[in-house]
Amino acid sequence: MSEPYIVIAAYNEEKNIGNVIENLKSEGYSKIIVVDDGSSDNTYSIAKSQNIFVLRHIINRGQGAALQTGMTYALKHGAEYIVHFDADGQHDAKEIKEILLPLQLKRAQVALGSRFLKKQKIPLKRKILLKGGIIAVWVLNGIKLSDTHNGFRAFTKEAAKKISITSDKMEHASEILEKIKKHKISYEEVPVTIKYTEETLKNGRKGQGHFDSVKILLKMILKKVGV
Amino acid sequence: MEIVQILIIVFSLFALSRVFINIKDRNLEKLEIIFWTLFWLAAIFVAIFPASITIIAELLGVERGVDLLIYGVIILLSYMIFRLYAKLENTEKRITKIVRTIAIKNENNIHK
Repeated sequence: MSEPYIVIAAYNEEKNIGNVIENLKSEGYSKIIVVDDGSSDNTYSIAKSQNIFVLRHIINRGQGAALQTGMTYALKHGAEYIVHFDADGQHDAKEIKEILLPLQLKRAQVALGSRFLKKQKIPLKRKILLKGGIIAVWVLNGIKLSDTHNGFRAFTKEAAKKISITSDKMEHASEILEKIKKHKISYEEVPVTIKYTEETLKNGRKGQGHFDSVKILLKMILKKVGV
Repeated sequence: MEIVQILIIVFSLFALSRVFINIKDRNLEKLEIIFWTLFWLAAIFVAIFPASITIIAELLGVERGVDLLIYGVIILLSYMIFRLYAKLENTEKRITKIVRTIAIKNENNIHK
């Protein structure tokens, strides 16, 4: 089977990116694409020292934009499978195997990580926020999932070509689901673990504070009504 | 003539001059030029003959001329904000495209 391309969008992740890359390597993955999204810290040089693909946005464009840059690049290099993986160490590299399984067995073209399918402790505040996102996606896009805003995903190359992310910022999570629905792409949810550390909670995945959630919801609605 | 009328006229003339400068620089499209020229000329006209707006208002079923003016301006401003929003989104997308192209072009590719 051909090796998956792991796409990581990183913005000011100098503390975590090194570890994340090493964990991926120790699991045997070598096709790692880090897209440094105009970080002001050492994210770029740390990633560059790691013998992987490193792309750099000269200015910050948001996570959606960075992921799409990575996907475009991976497709250009003939990727068969593309995995989205978080730069902050929230995801477990061991679970990439599991998220790829539905694609390899041809059960689905997209696999979406879900933290709610796995028994684990999720902070209450975060839980409320995420459940809100699930309801919003359900109402707006008609897709009912157990976890809509999970950055751990896998795509076949066919699906990746159809799902071209145009939302630069955090609405990309909803946009991906929207496109899955629109292009009738088969998908499956896969239970994944999310490691909550004090830091990841504080960061709230940069630019996804509670106020931003409202902004994202507004943008989703505006998009629905055709603005 | 009240001071406010003079102020409106002076400002409208200034705005008109801006429109004409933009014609010279070819920044505006034909329709935009016509729209803004008419708009500021109308403003001057209304400033000189305030009663005229009341007549139009009554024709349209609005009681006072000033009310009509406010309705009109609110609609115009809302539309312009919408246009700006759409344009801005478009510009953002284009910036991303440029940034992406540069990123891929300058790839740091050790695997080669």
